[in-house]
Amino acid sequence: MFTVEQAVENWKNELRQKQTVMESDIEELESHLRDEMEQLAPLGLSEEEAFLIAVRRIGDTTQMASEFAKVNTAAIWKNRFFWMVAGVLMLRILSSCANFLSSVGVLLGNQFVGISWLTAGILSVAVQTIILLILLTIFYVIAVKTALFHQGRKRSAVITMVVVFVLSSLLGASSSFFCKLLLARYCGVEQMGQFALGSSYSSVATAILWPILWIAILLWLLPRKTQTI
Amino acid sequence: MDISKDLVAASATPLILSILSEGESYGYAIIKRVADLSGGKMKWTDGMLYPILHRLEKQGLIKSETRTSETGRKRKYYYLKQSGAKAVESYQNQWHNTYATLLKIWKDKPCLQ
Repeated sequence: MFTVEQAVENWKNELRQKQTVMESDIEELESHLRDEMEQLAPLGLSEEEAFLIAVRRIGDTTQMASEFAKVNTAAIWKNRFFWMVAGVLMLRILSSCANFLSSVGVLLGNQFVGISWLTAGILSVAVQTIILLILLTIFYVIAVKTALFHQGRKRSAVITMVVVFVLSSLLGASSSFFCKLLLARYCGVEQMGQFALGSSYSSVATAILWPILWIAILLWLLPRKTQTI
Repeated sequence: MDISKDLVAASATPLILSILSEGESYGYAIIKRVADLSGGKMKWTDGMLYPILHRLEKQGLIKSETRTSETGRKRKYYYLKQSGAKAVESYQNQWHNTYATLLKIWKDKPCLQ
């Protein structure tokens, strides 16, 4: 069933995806689209027909996006920088959460399952890495499913992100601090040393793993070659 | 016959500035005015007008103001600045000279309309 509002929204989303067309541009184009549709309405066209003609007259979105790109250079970079910062922030948030979960998990494992401190040290980094990977995947799926990236920059989104960042950093840092404090207090320096040795073993492994992962993600994000016939 | 793409592109800026020299206007009205003036011979892709308007605004030839129109929708109105009016004059001279040059060759030939 065709509804004008939904069709207009879809068309706006298509423009938003181009990323060179700013929200203010889209607003202006939408006003134009509605003006055109109002003009076409008295000619006896259905709403859907009027919409299709108006969209056609405004023109191909890809072509328009490349024209807007020439004018919006500063805004485009501002936008890119925003997403870079947002990405770094998001990674920090997720790693803090992973840090918290692994610290608690390893401590519980040592207390109740009886794994040695050396194993706990190795596991702490490994568990943290696995949890982080899972969190990244969950975040990615949510972002794709909810079309989070269509929303553009919103003040409320930025503020929420900063608040979550501060809270999760505190959570992550304090949990690993208390984990180490407990170690030093109740288990003696030797166990603490074993824990540190164990975690440095795994740190080497993850130090190799992360660059490989990031390179793989970058390659995956690279624009694919379009086939020419 | 429709006017060629190259000519449409070349005349876009002087045309927009000249229309704005009649008074403030907005995108959709500018497109309508162009269609009226050219008798439909000048075909613009509507969306392409906006990047040009924004570029002219960046160059300081025009200014814009967003207001709520009589229909209750937000609309961005453009108007000419002093420097824009000067640009119109310069464009007028250039186009007159171009046309005059062509006319000198064409004056003996019948117009193939």
